[in-house]
Amino acid sequence: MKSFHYILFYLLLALSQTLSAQINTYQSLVQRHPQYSIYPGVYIFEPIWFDHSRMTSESEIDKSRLRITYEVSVVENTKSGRKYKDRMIVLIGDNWYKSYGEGLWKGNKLVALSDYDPDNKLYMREKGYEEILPHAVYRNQKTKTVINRGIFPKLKKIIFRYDEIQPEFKWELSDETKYIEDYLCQKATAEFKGRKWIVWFTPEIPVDCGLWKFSGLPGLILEANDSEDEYNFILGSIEQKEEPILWYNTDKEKKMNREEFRKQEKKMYDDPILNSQGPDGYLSIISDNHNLTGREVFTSGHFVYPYNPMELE
Amino acid sequence: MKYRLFISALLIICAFPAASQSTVSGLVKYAEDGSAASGVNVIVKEAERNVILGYAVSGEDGNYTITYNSDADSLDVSVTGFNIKKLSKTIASGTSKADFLVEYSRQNIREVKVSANAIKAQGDTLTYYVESFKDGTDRSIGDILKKLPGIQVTQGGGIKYQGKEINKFYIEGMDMLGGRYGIAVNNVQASDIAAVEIYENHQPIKMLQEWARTDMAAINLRLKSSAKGAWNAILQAGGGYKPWMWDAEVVPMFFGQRFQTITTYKTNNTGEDVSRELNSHFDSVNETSASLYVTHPTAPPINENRYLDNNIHSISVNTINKVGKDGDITADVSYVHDSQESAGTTVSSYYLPDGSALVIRESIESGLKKDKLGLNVQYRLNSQKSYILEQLSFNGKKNVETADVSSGNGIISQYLRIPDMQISNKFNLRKRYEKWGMDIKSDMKYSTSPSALEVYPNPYPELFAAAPEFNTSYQSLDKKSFKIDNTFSASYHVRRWIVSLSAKLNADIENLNSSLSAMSFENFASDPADSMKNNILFQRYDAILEPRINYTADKFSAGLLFPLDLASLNKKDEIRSHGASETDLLVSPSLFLIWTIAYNLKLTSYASWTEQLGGLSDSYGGYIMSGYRDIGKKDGPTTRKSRQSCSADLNYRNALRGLFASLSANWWRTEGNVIYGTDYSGILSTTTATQMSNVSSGVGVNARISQLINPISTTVNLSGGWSRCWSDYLRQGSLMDGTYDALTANLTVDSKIAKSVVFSYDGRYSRTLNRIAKTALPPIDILRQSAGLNFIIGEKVICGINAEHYFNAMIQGKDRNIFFLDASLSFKHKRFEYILEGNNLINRTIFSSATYNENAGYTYSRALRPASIIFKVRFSLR
Repeated sequence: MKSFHYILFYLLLALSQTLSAQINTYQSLVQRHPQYSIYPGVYIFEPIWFDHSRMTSESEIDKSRLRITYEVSVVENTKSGRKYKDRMIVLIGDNWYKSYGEGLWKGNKLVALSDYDPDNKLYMREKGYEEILPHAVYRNQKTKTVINRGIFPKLKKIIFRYDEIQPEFKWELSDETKYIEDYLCQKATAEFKGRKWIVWFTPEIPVDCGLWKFSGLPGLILEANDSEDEYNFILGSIEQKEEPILWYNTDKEKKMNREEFRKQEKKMYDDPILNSQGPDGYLSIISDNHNLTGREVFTSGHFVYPYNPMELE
Repeated sequence: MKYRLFISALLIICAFPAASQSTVSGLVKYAEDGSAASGVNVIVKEAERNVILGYAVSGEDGNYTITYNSDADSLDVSVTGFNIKKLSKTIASGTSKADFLVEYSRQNIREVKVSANAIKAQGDTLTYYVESFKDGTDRSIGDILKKLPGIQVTQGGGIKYQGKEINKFYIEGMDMLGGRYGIAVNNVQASDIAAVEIYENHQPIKMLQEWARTDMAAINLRLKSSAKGAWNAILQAGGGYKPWMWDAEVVPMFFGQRFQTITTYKTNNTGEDVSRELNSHFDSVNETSASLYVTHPTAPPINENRYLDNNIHSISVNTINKVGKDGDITADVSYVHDSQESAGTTVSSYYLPDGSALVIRESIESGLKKDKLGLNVQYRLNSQKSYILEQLSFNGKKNVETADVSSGNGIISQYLRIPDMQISNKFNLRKRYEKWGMDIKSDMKYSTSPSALEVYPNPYPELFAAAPEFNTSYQSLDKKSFKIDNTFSASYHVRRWIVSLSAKLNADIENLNSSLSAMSFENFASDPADSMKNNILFQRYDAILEPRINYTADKFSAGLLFPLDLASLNKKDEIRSHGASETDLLVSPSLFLIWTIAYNLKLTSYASWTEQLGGLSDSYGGYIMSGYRDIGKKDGPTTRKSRQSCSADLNYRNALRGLFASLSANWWRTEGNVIYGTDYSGILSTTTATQMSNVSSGVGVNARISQLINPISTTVNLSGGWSRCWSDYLRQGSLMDGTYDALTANLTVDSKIAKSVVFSYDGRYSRTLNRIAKTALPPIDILRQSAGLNFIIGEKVICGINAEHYFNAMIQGKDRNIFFLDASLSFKHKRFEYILEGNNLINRTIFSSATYNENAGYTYSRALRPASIIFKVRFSLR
C-alpha cells in the first residue's frame, strides 16, 4: 500500500511538470499583456489609446457639478452572448452633460481603463474590460441638442460626428421602487430606437437623467438596462466633483448626418481592417495562430467585429 | 359656503370613483426677483407613498402642467432642481393649482463610491469584491469567506450570514453542490473569483420570488471572466515525517455557462478529515433511534490534524448541466474510505441525588473503519411559471468500530458493525397561474440498518442465565423504516395577501428487531429471554390539514401557519404479544414576522407551539444494550411533548461602512409526560421510562458585530452570548432539577498590516456553570487563542508562524496552559507552489481539558500527533 502512494506521488509530480510545459507558450502570450486581449486568441502589444497626434487641443466647455460612473456590461456579440465590461463616466455641468466610455476617451491618461489596485496605487485595467462604448455624447441643456461623437472600437482613426435635437423619451412610470445604495429609486420604462429601456431613477438627485442621451425624468438614473439585457448600466459612484468638461478639438473629425454616421459605423464593424493602424499600417498583434500575420488576422475573412449598437433603428 | 364645498366635494367623489385622471398646474417663480423659474422639476406623489405619479419640467415662463392618475385623498407636490431649494406642498385631491416661490440653493448630494468600496449593496444583493480582501496567503475561496464582514464560516465548514445559515450556494448562479458546498469552499481558487454575492431574503424557487420571500440568504460566487468556460485543476502531492505521511489531491474543475463540474480526489494520513467537505449543510442529520455505539476518546476542541490518526481516501464527482432555459440536471457520486485510530482517557462524573457524584474513569483505545458511498441524481425546472424537482439518492455506509476500555478492573473490548443503507426519492411540482398557485410534493425514503455490538467480557452477566463460558454479550439491532410524505396544496394570491391550504398524508412504517444474548467464543448461549428481545412493528399515519396566511408589504411581511394533525399510532410488540393503538389530534401553530425597520435594519421574529408524539425510539419493552455500560428499555406510555418557542433577531448592515451587527434572543419550553430515569450501579447504567410530567426550558441571547476597517484592510468580529437551561432529571429513582449556564465571547481579527504582513487572531472565552439539585458545581473557564503571522516576501515567498494557546481553569498542573507552535514556508514559482510545513513544533503529546454538559462533567485527555514536518508541491493549472 505504501509503495502505491509513492508511485502516485511521482506520477502526480511528473504529470504536473508536463502539463506546465505544454501550457507555457500559450500562457506567456497571455501573461505578457493579459489585459489587451482584443479578440479570442488575438492579443495586442499596447493598449489602444486615444490617438494623441490627432488631438490638436482640448477646450473646457463647462465644469462638472457631479461626476457619476457606471459599470457597463454589454452583449457585444448577440450570437455567442459573450459579455464585455466597460466603465462609463458622466459629467454633469450646468450647461453641458457629457457621457463617455472611460477607456477609449481617456487619451491623455497613460492607462486605458482603470480598476483601483490598492497595492500599487496604480490604475490597471481589469481582465475582461474592453472599450465597448466607442462614443461620447455631449448634451447641451440650454439648446436641447445632442452631439454624438463616435470612434471605432479596437481599431480607429477618425472621429465621426452627428448632431441631433434632444430626442424625446416617452417614459412610463411604474410604482415599483427599490434602493440603490441608499437612494430610493423608481422604475420607468421607455421605447427608444428599437430597444425597450428599463431604468431606475432617483428624484433625490434632481438632474435630467444624466446617463447617455436619456432625458425627461425628474432625477438621475442609477441603473439602466434594455429588455433583452444586452446593455446594462449599474451605478459605480457619485461624486460632487468639479472637473473640466472637455471637448477634444481634432482635425480628423468628420461631421455627417445620423444616417451616414450609422452607415459608416456599421461598415467599421464589418471590416475593421479598413481602419487599423500601426508601425506598418497595421496593428501590432500577436496571435495564437502563428501562421497568420497581423495583416492577415485583420481581414474581413478572419475578423468581423460584432455590431450591436445602443440604437438599433 | 361650507354647503357648496360639500356639494362640490360630493360631485367630485361621484364623478371620479377610482384612480381618476387629474391635472395640476401652476407657476414657479424665484422668490428673490419674481422672475419665472424654468427647467425646474415638479413632482406629484401620493402623500402616503413615496412613489411619483406624475411630473413635469417648468417651461420658459415658469408654468407647468402635470396629469396623473390617483384616487388618494391628498397629494404631495414638490419642486426640485439642482440649483434650488426643495419645496413641498400637500394639496387635497382635485386641487388643480399649485404655485411655488423657489429659492436658489446648491443641493448637497450624498456621495457614493461603489466600485472603490470593498462591499456594495444594491437592493437585496450585497457584493464583496474579492480583490479587496485577498492577500498572498489565500488559496481557496474559503480563506476569503472567513475574512468577509457579516459572513461566518463555522467549525464544521457551514456558512452563516448575519448569524443565520445560508439556504443556497451558487457558482455563477448555478446550484451544483446543494448542501455540500464545502467542496467549492475548499477547492475553488480564490484567484478565480471576482466577487462574492449575498442574496438577502432569498427565495430559490423563482415562481415564488414575488410571493414569498424568506429570511435566509444565499451566496453566489462570481467568477472572473478568465475563469469562465476554462478548465482549472489543482494537483498537490506531499510527503513528511513523523510518522511517515503522505498528502495528495487532484481537483479538476470547469465552470461554463451551461455546464459545471468539480471532481475531487484526496488522500492523506496527516490527520486532515478531507471527507468532511462532502457532508451536506442543508439536510439535517436523521436522528437514528436507539443506536449502538462504542466508547471513543473525547474529541478535543482543537484542529483535528493535531490528534486524528487517519488513512483516508475521498473521491467525489459533481456535475450540473443546464437543460433548456430554466432547467438543470445535477448528478454526483462520492466515496470515502477512512480508518482512524485514537487513544485517550475520560473521567465522567454523574451527579446523584444524595449530592455525591459517580465517577467513572476510562482509558480508551479505539479504531474506526469507515466506507461510505453516496449517489444523487436530480432534475429541476425552475421558471417563473412552474417548478419541478425530482431527486433520487442512494446512501450506503459501513462502519466497523472497535474499542478497548480499561476502567479499573480489566479491559473491556467492544466491537461494533453498523451497515446503513438509505434510498430516497423526492418529487415536487409547483405551478403558478395568474393568482393561483399549486404545489404537489411526495417524498419517500427507505432505510435499513442491521447493526451489532459485541462486548467482552459480558458487563451484565446477571441478566443472562448462561454458563460462564458464554462471557461475551452480543446485541443485534435491525432497523428498517419506510416513510412517505405527500402534500397537496393550493394558494390564492390577492394583492398583498396569500392564503393557502395544504392537505398532507404521511405514513411511517418501522420495524425494530433486536436481541441481546450471551455468547462464547464459538457460539451463542440458548435463545435469550423475551425481556432481551424486541420485535416491534410501528406504524404511524398522519392526516394533516394546514391553512396558512401570509401578508407581504414593501417593508413588512408576516405569516401564520395553523396545521391540524390527526395522528394515528399503531404499535405491535410481537415478543410480548401486545398491541396498542391510539389516535390523537396535534395542533402546532406558528407565526412569523419580518419587518424592515429602515434601509439597513431588519427585525425577524418567530413564535411557535409544537405538539409531538413519541416514535419507535421511545417505545420498546425489551432491553437494548446501546453501549458497554448503557442498557435500557423504554416501555412506558406513548410520549407526548409540547414545545413552545419564540425568537427575535435584529440585523443591521451598512455596506458602505462595512459594518454588520446582529442581536438575537430566544426562549423555549418543553413539557413531556414521560421521563427517562437512569439507575447507576457501579459503572453500569440502566435506563427506564417513567410516566411523570417534566419540564425543561431555556433562554439565550447572542450578539455579534463585524466591522471592516478599510484603510488598514482589517476585519474585526466580536461576538458573545449567554444561555441558560433548566431541566428535570430522574436518577436513582429521584427527581432532580438542574440549571446549566453558558457564557461565550469571541474575538477574531484578520488584518493585512502592510502589503507584506498578514496577521490573524482568534480568541474564544467560555464559562460554563452547572447547578444540579441545588448544588452549584465550580465554574469551568476556558480560553482558546490562536494567532498567525505571515510575511510575504517579494510576492513569491511566504513565511508563516502560528501559535495557539489553551487554558482551562479546571485543570491543575502543567496541563492548565497548553501551547502549540506551527510554522510554514512556501515558495511560488509560476504555477507551482512549494510548501514546507512544520506542525506541533513544541512536540506536545497530550491534550487535557474539562467540560460540562447539561447533566454531567467530563475531564479528558487525548493523545496527540507528534512534531512533524511535511513538504508539499501544489500546482494549479491557471
